[in-house]
Amino acid sequence: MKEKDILDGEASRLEGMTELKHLNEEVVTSLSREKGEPDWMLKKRLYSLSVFESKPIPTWGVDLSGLKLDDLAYYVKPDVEKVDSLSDLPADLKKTFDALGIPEAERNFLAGNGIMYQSEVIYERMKDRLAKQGVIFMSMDEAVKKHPDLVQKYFMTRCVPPTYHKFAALNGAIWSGGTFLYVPKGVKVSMPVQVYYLVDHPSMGQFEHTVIVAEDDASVEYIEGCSAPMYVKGGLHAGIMEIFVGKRARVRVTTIQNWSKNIYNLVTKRAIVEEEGKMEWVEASLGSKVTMLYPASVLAGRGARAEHFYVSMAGDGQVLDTGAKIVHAAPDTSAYVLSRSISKGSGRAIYRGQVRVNPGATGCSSSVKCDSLLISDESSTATFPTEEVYEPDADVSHEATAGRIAEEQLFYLMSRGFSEEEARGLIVRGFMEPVTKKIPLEYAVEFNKIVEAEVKNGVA
Amino acid sequence: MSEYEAFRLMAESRYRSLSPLKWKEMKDGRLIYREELKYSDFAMDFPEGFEIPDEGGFEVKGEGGFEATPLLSKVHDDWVARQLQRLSEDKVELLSLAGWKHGYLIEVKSGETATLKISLVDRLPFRLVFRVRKGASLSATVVTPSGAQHEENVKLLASRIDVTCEPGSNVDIAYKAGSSPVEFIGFSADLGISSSLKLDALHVAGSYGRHFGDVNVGQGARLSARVAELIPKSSFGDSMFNVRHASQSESEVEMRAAVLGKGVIRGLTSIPKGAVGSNANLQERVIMVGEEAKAITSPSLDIYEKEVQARHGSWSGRIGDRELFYLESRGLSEKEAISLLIRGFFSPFERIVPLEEVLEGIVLGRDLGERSEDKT
Repeated sequence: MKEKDILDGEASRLEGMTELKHLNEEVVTSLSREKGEPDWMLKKRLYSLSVFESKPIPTWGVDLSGLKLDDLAYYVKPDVEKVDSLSDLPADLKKTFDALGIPEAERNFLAGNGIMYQSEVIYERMKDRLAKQGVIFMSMDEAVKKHPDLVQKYFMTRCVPPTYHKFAALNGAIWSGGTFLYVPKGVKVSMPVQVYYLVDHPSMGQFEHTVIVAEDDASVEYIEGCSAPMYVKGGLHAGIMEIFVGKRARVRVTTIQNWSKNIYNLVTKRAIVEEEGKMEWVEASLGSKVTMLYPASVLAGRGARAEHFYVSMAGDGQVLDTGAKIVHAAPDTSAYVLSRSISKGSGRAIYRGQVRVNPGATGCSSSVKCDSLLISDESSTATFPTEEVYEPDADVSHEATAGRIAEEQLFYLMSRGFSEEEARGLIVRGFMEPVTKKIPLEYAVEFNKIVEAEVKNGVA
Repeated sequence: MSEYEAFRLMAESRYRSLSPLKWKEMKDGRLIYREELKYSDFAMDFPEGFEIPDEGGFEVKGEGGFEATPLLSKVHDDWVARQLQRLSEDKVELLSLAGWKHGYLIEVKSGETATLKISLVDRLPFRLVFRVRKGASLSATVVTPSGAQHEENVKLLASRIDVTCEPGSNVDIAYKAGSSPVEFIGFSADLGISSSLKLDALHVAGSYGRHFGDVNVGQGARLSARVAELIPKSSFGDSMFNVRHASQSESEVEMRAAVLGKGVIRGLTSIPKGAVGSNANLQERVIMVGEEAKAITSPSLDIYEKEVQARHGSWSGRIGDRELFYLESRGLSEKEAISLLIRGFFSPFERIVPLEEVLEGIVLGRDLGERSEDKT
């Protein structure tokens, strides 16, 4: 069967889009050929596929039985050609992004900006000054062709190998889109780079693959936003983010996830941090039906540091299972995790984290703090921290609290003239503040608005 | 067949029907699953080699309004039978349910007060069932023979203590167990309305030790548990404590471990829907001594009710160089300084940890003794 036939035969048309369904070797091969990829990438895809097929769906965490892998469209080619300017986008998309404030953000405070729609990156742009310094910011598909050596070195090698888990393998087999961001030695990107992910399809899987490399002494901040309109059927988002933090380099990744409330968000994020490097994760989770998100930091060089900040809000029917995975693999490494979660309606917010101190990693310190707030009668929360300390010379601590909004606090605020609704909103915002202040201001304002609206709904 | 035999057979067949016991073990600093803890390695495959001597057993001394009856004579009693037949899915627990011959039912009559000391003369698998009637109060200490000299012929001990606190009762239990090559001890308690339980437990791991606690805290009841774990060099100890809350109940669980070998300290506090006004605190503290110490801690909370307050925390670390240096600069030897610091670490546990004996004999004796030999 020719590739064209497979595309036409297997796929249905959805408003001029090409879909790929039913995952098998032929489909993976045809996708790879269609994208004009080199052989090593095809081999990687096929190997990943075999790993994916050999692994069972994990059962240790959230119930994934509602996830219907057979119904998913694994690849959806958008009906929009790649554009050079935001103003060239079709009117409806342009309207969406205007509403999200993306063009304004690009003008004012972004070093680079990208948009991924369905399975492809449809727009990306970077300040010329950075390109001259050797910074590479392009879609992964393009990077595979233009910088094959770099990509081959970092793509699913030592950070997230296909054998990491089932959904990492799935991504390895059928990935499409995502970003390749490379910051050469000593280059400090002062303004953030942003990529926005949008899915507009009844039931598709988005499998973007992002690789961020900050060479020695470099620094960069990457922001991603995700959203999808609500459809009857659910979808799957199983992206991968691989990050390499060089010696004394610094990388901060901020994700504001607001998928529609029927998407399974099973993403894999992992960073390898070299000597005295610093990795910061800021994760704001609002949407999705089920989220299983455990950003991992492997502290591989002496003195490396990781900071994880999470804030999540689980509303009706949502299960947000987030946590940090930290491996202290070198001496004198340190990590700090702060997680604040709110459960409302019948939502369930879970912290599930792991800290591991390898033998020989002397002088490490790790501190994990997680607090949860329950604001409705049906909501629930859980904390499952595990600390594995295989090196006696280490200092590992964990602290957590769970409870409701204290009556005294409410009473105090109400005695000062706030309505109950306002008082609750204020307390919730204060509860989340240590994390939200890490989010860039433009997003934090928006985020607070969403939270406040959700809290009001929850109470009402 | 006597009812005891029938019960034992039932537990045994249940034990056999479960899949092989997967035992977590750490190798080269990594946690691995060993296929099966081979009882035959310790000459204790079940039931062969798991002969329980007919002779030997308990000494129950005390005063006040209590009644101590050998358990075997009570298996016809419905309530006792129910206590004995709470079969679980846990293999280790089943082993302890099936493998006992010596045990006592201790009943404190309604409104009475009793003070008890129960000593195990021989190292045997045992079962103790406490039934504290309405409004009664009990203070009991259970002591097993010191671990330093274990009997050669008993390699495996699997024992259980079950406590039922009826409404309004007040119970204070302290027990010390462990240090056979392989020893499991289970503790369970049901706390009735407005009862209170204070528990102090010390477990000293032998080659393999497992310590399993499970408490249902009833409406308005209060649990205060302190669980200490001593894990000597080249030993493996696994300690777990589960608490389930009912409304207006309170629990305070503090687990502390001094780890020279490999230790797993787990705690889970569950607050189900409807347990309004619960107040829970779960703390785990692990101090690691020596080069070989490895520890896993996992304090978990699972909450389905909003009108609650729950906290948990854990810390693992080692004895600070500064503290050691300070004490050594005052003229203490390294051994004395470590011993003093571990005693300080266990100071809230003074009642149950017989510090001198346990620390010197079991923990530090083995560890530092070997080390000082190495040096010479």
